[in-house]
Amino acid sequence: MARLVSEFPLGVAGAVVILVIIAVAVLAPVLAPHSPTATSFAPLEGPNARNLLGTDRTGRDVLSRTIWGSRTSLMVGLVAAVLGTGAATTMGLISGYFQRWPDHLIQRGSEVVAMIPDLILLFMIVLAFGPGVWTVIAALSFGGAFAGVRVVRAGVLAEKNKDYVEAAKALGAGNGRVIFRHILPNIASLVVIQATIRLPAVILAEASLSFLGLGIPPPHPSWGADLGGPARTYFRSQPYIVLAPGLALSLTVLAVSLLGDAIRDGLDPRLRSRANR
Amino acid sequence: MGRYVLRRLVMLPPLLVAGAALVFFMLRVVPGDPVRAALGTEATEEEVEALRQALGWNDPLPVQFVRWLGDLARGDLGESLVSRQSVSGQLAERLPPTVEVLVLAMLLSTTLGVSFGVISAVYRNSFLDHLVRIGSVAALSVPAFFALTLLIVLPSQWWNYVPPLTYEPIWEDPVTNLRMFVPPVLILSVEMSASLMRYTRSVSLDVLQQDYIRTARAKGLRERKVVINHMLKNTSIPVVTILGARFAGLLGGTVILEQVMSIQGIGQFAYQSVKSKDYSVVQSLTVYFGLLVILSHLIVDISYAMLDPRIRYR
Repeated sequence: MARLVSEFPLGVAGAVVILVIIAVAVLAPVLAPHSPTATSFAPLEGPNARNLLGTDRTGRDVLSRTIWGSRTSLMVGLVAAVLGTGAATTMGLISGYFQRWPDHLIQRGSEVVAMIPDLILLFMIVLAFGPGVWTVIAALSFGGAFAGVRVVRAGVLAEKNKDYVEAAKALGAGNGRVIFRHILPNIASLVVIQATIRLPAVILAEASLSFLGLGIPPPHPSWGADLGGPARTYFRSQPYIVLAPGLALSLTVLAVSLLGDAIRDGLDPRLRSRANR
Repeated sequence: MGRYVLRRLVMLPPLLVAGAALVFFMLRVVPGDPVRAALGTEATEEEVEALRQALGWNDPLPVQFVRWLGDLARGDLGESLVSRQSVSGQLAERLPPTVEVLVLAMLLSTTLGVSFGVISAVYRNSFLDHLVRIGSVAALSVPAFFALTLLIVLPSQWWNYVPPLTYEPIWEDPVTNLRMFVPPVLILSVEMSASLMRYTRSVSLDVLQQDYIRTARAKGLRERKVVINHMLKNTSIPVVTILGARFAGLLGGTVILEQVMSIQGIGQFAYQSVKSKDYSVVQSLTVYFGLLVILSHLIVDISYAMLDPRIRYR
């Protein structure tokens, strides 16, 4: 443990912050002093004993909304990062292992998707399926699937001609067994690295979509949504309305990025030496 | 080299058509009738039907798609359903502010990102190196819309300074223009230079381990010469790659910044058009963006060969 702290001080700091944010998200019903969606107070009140960070323009408690917002960010981020990386891994395995037409199909497909700017693609998916938490997750997973497929494919291509794969095939292992029992474990660190890169990106993307009014629909608490739209008009008189969700969001992404960097350095021995030298 | 470029250019139209088809059919899946929305609630059923007929929207989808491709090939981008103006005219009007932001941000972030990356690598593990590295992670963590909000609101709180909110072309009123563009350019540049810096640093560290650097030092060259003459050029190849990829990302970033600053640029245009399902605008913009993205990748590949004579394309 002490070695971990001395080797990856920033990563450990990130992990501690993430644990705190996870605790806040899990304990939101206990921690939040008020309901995040009930408009039970006078609008735009400054910080006071009852509403520690004041109230927003519809009379909701800013502190409670910020606390509940952690659930949205973490849930959307984790699920979309895992689904997106999972899809990228599946496609990368198929593309790299079988090559020929599945490879062509997936590679040309990802080139076409890469042609369309991310945000516009996300807009269209969200508009096509209607706003909602699951639409946002689906859209972000879709984007992630195509973002990571090339890296996984390159990893598979590097592994598939190695002797241990030949040996497994010579022993009569079928394609499924070779892929899942032999190649997948060997590219696992690559997949984990992809997920750690994807997680902060997804959290930011959800916030951006919600900020533009195309993400998590109101009144569901979302840090991005609370930063956007009409709330911006009141920043001068009630800075906490924007500061609280903005800082929470920045801190979460920072912690996730620091932890991700440390995991990457730890998994990749080549990078480990690079980080320390 | 010439043949390689030619082959890449031949691949361009099919890719563009595939991207256009994806967007064309995805837009048609989006629920809601844009004609009705464009005409307003006052319009009668006959008026809506007449406009649909005039636009050719009652034909089968594949027929519409091929017709649109034909128009596109002749350079006709159609007209916006919402404003009833030609798409190319609106593009020409909205291009200057976006191009200005992108060009300024590219210049500033490349300068900042590459210099800090090199400094960080040359003085690795120094206080400066740690500061720059932590700063870059922090810069990447603050969402652009939050940072920009702070950058606009805090000066207004403290010094009553508000940037102008109406666009003046830089050739007419450079001061007003720059006052408006400095905040979004700063935010975009800081974000972009942070990732560029991290990348430049790790590439520079690899280059510094190479034998030719040791040879240069052993010859008795001054460190400044080693860095400038021997390291920088070899660092530039991987760095150029990421520049090309970033350019595509910048296009997406402008959507949010233009929204916050209410700049009537291409990003706003795309956002509003997708929201109002303005088919012809979204389709044209996608092809346009796609062309930019593919061309920027091509330019990157060509610049490899120019920077490193060992790279040959066949």
